[in-house]
Amino acid sequence: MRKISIGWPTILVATLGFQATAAADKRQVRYVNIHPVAKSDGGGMCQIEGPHVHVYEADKLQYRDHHGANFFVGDPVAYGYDGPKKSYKGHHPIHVHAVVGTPEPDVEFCYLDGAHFHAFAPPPGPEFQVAGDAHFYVAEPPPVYLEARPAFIGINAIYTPIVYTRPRVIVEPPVGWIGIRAGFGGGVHVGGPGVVVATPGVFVKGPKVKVKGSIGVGIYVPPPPSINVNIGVGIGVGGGYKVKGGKRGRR
Amino acid sequence: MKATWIILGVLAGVPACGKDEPAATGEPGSTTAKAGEMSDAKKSLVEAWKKAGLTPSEMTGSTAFGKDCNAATVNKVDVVVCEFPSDDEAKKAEQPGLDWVGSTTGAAWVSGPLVIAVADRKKADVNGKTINQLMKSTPK
Repeated sequence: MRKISIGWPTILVATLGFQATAAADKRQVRYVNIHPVAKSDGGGMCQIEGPHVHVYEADKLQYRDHHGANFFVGDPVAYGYDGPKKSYKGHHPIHVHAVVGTPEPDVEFCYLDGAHFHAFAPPPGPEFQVAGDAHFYVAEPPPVYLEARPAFIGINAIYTPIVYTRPRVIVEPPVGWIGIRAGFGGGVHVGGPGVVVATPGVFVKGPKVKVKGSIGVGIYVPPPPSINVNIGVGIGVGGGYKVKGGKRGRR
Repeated sequence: MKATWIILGVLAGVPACGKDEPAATGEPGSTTAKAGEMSDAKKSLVEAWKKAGLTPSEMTGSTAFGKDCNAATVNKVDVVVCEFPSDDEAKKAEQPGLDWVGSTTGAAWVSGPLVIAVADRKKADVNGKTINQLMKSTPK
């Protein structure tokens, strides 16, 4: 029988390599403010508001970087959060620095479609209007909102299958709401510069024009004469914007 | 061949000294030179926690990540409080505090010359309520 010999360096490298991998699997990941707990760690919501660490990763759609820590921008109620909360509708900025209490401004965008919750209120000012107890973003979004949208809009696919009670928003959106403005959240089809169609339930398509950053900004869609929300069935508002109320699994 | 097994045995023991595990001196109840001593700053901190409804166990001496530390548990969460000569030195010790936390949920923060590090090694605070209370009730 042939004798197999293994060199010391081989054993040493293999052993230390295994240890390094095991340690790498458990590296600390920084978080700030409340966020969902990984299922592997029991699920639910982590309620630590200050900076802290866990040994599980944060995904790239529901978190934004805030000075090296992961800040959760999703809907905490979807994960069982039952603390104080505010209703929002459509996309909007989040003043992360105001939420976590850091001095340098850090504004991120939430790309959740439709009505949803956050655990924080927006700062007072003209960029939000409250209607039906929900916050609507009515200011001019910065170019970065559109630039980052393709990277983050996928967050909605995470929430679509989650069954939880979303806020019921039964009001007409205020004038200037991002959800009914061409090129932003409303999915309004624009036939060309200056052509705007936003009648509830009616889609009018012109030649396919892709609305991008600088073109989209400045095209304003006046509020439709009436918008029906919270009917329990999907209603297209301004084109492809579905609003439902009550408990449901799909938006 | 005998030597091979001896070396493999030694290598197998290496993880026990790795970064994943907290230093033995950081564990509550470990022995230190300053056992039983509590500065006014530490006493105020413990009082603030008690006022917030938390019930820390007896603070025992520790050298978890500093020379002047005390360790306890609060609702089964490991807590170490280390005092430094200045606020600046305390700020610099925040990272060693996180290193002490190791591979588990935890936090380290500064309160004047104190650094507080907490680690949920027993997974007794999955939702972080105790850690959040400790943080929020710490005097600024």
